[in-house]
Amino acid sequence: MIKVENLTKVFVHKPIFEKYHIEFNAPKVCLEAPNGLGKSTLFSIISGIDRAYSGAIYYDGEQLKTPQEKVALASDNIAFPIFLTAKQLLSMTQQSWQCPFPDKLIELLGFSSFLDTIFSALSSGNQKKLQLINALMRHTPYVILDEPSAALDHQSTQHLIDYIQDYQGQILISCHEPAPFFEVGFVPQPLFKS
Amino acid sequence: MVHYYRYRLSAFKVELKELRRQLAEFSLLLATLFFVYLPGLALGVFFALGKIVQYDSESQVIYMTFGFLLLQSLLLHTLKSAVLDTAHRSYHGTLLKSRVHQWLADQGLLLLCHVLFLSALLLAVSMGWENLRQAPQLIMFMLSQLMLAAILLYRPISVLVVLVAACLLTFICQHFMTYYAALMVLLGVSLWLPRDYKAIKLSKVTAHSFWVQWTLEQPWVVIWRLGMTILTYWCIWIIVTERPDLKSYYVVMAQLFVVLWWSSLLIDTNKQVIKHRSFWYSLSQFKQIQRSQCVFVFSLTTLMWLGGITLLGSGTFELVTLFAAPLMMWVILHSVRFMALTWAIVVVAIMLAKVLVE
Repeated sequence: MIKVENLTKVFVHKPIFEKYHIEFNAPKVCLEAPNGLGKSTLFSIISGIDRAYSGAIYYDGEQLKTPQEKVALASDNIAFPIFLTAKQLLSMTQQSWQCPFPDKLIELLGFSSFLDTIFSALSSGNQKKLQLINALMRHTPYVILDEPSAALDHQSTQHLIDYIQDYQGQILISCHEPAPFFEVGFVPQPLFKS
Repeated sequence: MVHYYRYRLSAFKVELKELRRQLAEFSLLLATLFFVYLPGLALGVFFALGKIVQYDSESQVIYMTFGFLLLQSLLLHTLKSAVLDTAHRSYHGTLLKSRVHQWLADQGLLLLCHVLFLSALLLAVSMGWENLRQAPQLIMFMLSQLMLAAILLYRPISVLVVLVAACLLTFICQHFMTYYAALMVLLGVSLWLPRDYKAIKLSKVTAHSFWVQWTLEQPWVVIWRLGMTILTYWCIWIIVTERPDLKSYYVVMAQLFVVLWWSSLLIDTNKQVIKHRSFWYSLSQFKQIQRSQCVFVFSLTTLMWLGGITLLGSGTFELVTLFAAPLMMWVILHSVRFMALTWAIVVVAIMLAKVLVE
């Protein structure tokens, strides 16, 4: 389970979080908040991508030096090099984390024919699929999916939900159309307590 | 259609202004350091053009032609996006019924900023028709200047192929007319080459091979530096042939320029690292990519520096110039705005030490 304590994060003199606390105890959490309040920023911090903050993050009660070893993030905040092909990007993840190439996941999301396409030439839906495959292929104890259904077609969204339904590990998502996710056990949790 | 041409001119001016702003600090520093040589540099263009008209040997015309074509390609490539208004190219389609106006605007703006062609034109006009008829090589030269410039706008691969072939032809051709004829054929044939560049994709990308893939994707970052390196060594070669007594000073200066061209590659690579910081963090390879960019840039700098040492010879101060590279790289990584100043200090320090020692 993930616990955030005393988090302070400032963006150009404007505090996004100030002495912020939150705990994610459910195995499948849907973080809820209107746009621009800091969901993506929080996800970047939890996954170890953004290090410019003060406070502590606990993963099953333990602080991690390199959280990205245990947390995989699918988010627009991760800027992929636009000139690499999808296959090159996935291979890099495969080499870095010593995980198998995600053939099954690629097939499931109907991405096979786009493997040799460079990132910048992918449609927004396919860029989202690549982000999701890139995160889920690692089978980490924690997975964070930022707006996983944004730009995805209905069929792909359904395949994704079927896949993460049985995922062994904690999943955090943010989603503005969460109903299908609630159906498979995701629990809503507000970013800020009212 | 006047409104379209007016728009293109204003878009061109805006981009030039931005380019000037970016280069202001560095240009000012270069101008301050080498202000004594600036009039000579401008006159040097006409001196070199004069060598095409009145030559000592035919090979001299060939070398000058290649030098000018290389230099114009470097200069025009920098201005290409301003000429074409690349950022808003698709917007043009909403204003135009026919592409003819777009082409005319492109060519007009190209002429406006083609300083080397305008210099040759000025020389041709001042020579008068009778004298010009006695120097047909100047007309051929200007024609090749114009053709290569037009190709550069729309077919970058063709320009690269033509320049490489033109360089090889300087070793083969004995007569300038043969050279120009071959150049024209090359320029014509190059139009059959593919319009768009498609880079080879590496099957496996690591933190080190990432830079190879990056270079393959945007080879211009290396090509312009290679071009500047060739021009620098070539100019110094000509100067030291004329003034062998000043050889050691000019060679050190050439090496310092080469270190500047190549260590500044780190500005481009570091932009990539910063832009994709989150990606490298997600792979837990941020430190590796930071290290690999330094290895990549320093390897290329050393390679080019070695080329200079082999070509122009070495001495204590020539060897010392390589030590400027890690210093420059450190400054680029920590405070890029001091890069030009650091280079200037290194130049002054090495030259002063050389004068004092010798």
